[in-house]
Amino acid sequence: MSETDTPPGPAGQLVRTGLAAAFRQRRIRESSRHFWKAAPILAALGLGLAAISLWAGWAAIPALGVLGVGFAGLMAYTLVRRRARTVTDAVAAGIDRDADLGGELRSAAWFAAHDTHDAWTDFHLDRAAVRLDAVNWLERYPAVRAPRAKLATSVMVIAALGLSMTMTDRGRLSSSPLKANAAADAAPLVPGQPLSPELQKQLADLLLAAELAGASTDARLTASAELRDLLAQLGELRDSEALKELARSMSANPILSDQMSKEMQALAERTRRASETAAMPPELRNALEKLSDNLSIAAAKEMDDSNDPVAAANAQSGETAKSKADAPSSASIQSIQDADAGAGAGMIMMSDENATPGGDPGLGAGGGSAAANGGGTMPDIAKALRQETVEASADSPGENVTTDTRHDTEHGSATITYTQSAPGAFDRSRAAAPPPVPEGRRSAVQTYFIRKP
Amino acid sequence: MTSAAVGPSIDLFRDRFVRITREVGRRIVGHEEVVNLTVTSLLAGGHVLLEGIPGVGKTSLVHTLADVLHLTFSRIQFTPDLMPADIVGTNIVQEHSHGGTFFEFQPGPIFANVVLADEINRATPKTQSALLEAMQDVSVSVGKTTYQLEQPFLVLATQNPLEMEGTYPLPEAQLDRFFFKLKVTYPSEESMHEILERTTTDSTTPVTRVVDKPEILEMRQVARSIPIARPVQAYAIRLTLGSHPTSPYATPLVKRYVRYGASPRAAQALVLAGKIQALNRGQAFVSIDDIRRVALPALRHRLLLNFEGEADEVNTDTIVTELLGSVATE
Repeated sequence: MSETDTPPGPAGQLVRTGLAAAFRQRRIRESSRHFWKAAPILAALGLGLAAISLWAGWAAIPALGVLGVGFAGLMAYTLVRRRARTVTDAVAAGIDRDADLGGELRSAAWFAAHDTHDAWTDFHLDRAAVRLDAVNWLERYPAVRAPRAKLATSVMVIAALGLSMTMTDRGRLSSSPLKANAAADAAPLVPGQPLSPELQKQLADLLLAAELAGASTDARLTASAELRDLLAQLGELRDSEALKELARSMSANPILSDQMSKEMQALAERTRRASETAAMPPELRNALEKLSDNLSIAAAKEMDDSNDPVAAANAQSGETAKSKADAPSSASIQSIQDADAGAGAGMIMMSDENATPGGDPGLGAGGGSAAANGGGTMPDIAKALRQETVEASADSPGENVTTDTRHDTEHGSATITYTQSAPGAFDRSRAAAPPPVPEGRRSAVQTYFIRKP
Repeated sequence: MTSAAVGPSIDLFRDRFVRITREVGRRIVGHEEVVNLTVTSLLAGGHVLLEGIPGVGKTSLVHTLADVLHLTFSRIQFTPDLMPADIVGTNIVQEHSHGGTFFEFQPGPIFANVVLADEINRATPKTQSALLEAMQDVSVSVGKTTYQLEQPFLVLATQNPLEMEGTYPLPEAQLDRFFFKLKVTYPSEESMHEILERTTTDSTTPVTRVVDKPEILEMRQVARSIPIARPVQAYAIRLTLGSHPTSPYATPLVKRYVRYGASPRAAQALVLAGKIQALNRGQAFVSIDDIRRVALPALRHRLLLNFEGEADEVNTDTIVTELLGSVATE
């Protein structure tokens, strides 16, 4: 028997080629299987993210990004898995096992990859090449069908894209009020123009729907979604400059102004009530609350301006706030009802920044001092809140309780009577939200009344 | 030899192998695996230790094999008073016809192709050791002279696992020289019927000689020609190394109960027996399955248990089986 060191003969080449083809087919199948295992999960992730984004009002970018990057990564992984690689002994053993060749292919692969061969090795390689050629690798490694995975992936990707497109449309509409919806098309909201009756009506309808939809989740969601759209359009009302423009435009038309101010005041009140609806999402309640504030301010300004043309003129020069400060009737009154406070716990704080040193200084920060009010420890708050009232809750006081204590004395007996106020029962139905605080002063008020630890 | 001649030689090998086992099977009921592995050992040039209770056909198997193979046969009944000279032979004084004396070597029963060492564990270690040289080098030394034994040379030793009193367990060095340790199990109910029908009636079952000495030697040569891929050989080595408690391939049972693992002779036995198994399948390559198929008889007697293993009466088959299940094939 002769043993040579020449390269493998034709049989060895056949074994190598056949093994490489089988390995390629196996890689394709494995990568496809991995792809269709991961694709539904990825699509579900994208769909879930799109749904969450839609619910939370986020942009469509995260969902689309996850889908795009995920599938791009999956494709890259698939391509990497499919690229040509060296056939190792483990690979040959795996293919041998898959083809049920009883170890012949594994052994032949090793001999084909090495130079040493003899008559027995050649015979072994010849037979292995024949057996390898007889194997139909397309049958051994058929293409992955995965119909359910493909269907599920397609449906979820389409759904995710649909949701993302919906979000994109909403985003586009929110950035362009002219295209918000049919009502907005009819009466676009433009700074400097009064709030159109159509828009007021739509807002009122939606508020009504939101108020009445507490029992139905679907209806609540629908109303909430529509409210979000509308609030997105009304977003610019938060802009103080836009509000001034709105007030100026309304004051220019006395007839319309009076009617509009009442309507807007009513609308602000409804918006405020809607913002207190527990069934609404928190962010929607905040938005409604801000809108209510804005509408109140706009209505108040419009009313002031219609009564005081000078103030209206001053409003154009930015001195409206100062002129209104002289009128006690226009002062903002804050009534805070502390339902959990103890009986009789009530405090009224009033301040008048124009009080003379000898006069009634009123209550409040810096009151009673020779210095002008507002010069105390929190002048900014005193300045912002010209007149504030903190009232005890009407629910708090309980009935007076009289307690008599008798005891003997040297001269007989004595009676001592104590009178105290019993804790009152809190009637939640009587609780009402305080009047709206202007947006510009909200942060100061919140900071002022927060109990420091 | 050209590659074109390989195919016929494989077929011839397989044909002879099948004829041997089939002819032995005409007289020996059941025990196909024992017969197969005994013939494998013969073709690999190894020796076999047969273990089984009395009466299960150990001696009959050896007798039958010698008849079928057309080989000389001798039987040595090992007893405590058996001496080495009783096995290998001795020099005896002879007288010349013209006067004077000289020593003449009188060969012992070891000078045969097939030697049955019956109840080998009943002899003293000194006598048992007399077989060492014969089994390893196929030669015996008497005095200053070494005598070659005739090939093929096959020692088939039997031992009774039950009667341990008055026995001398084989030393590890001798155990390692047995290619396989085969366990002759009790025959099944069906086989018992067959045994009774063959042995309790007037008819006897004659066997014919299917192969002769040159053919056996040729089969041995063919068996050693078959190539084995390095990964398959590596598996045999991992199995052998795994029987050592300090090896990284060692299993928990090996680490706990084995004092010394299998020697390199075990790896040789695995590869050689694997080659014969492959030829017996008609293949020109050795597969992992061929190695696994012969692992148990090749390794079970080569594991030396520690005190804990002996105390717990651990069966080495359990350890080898665990080894086969844990050593990676790739």
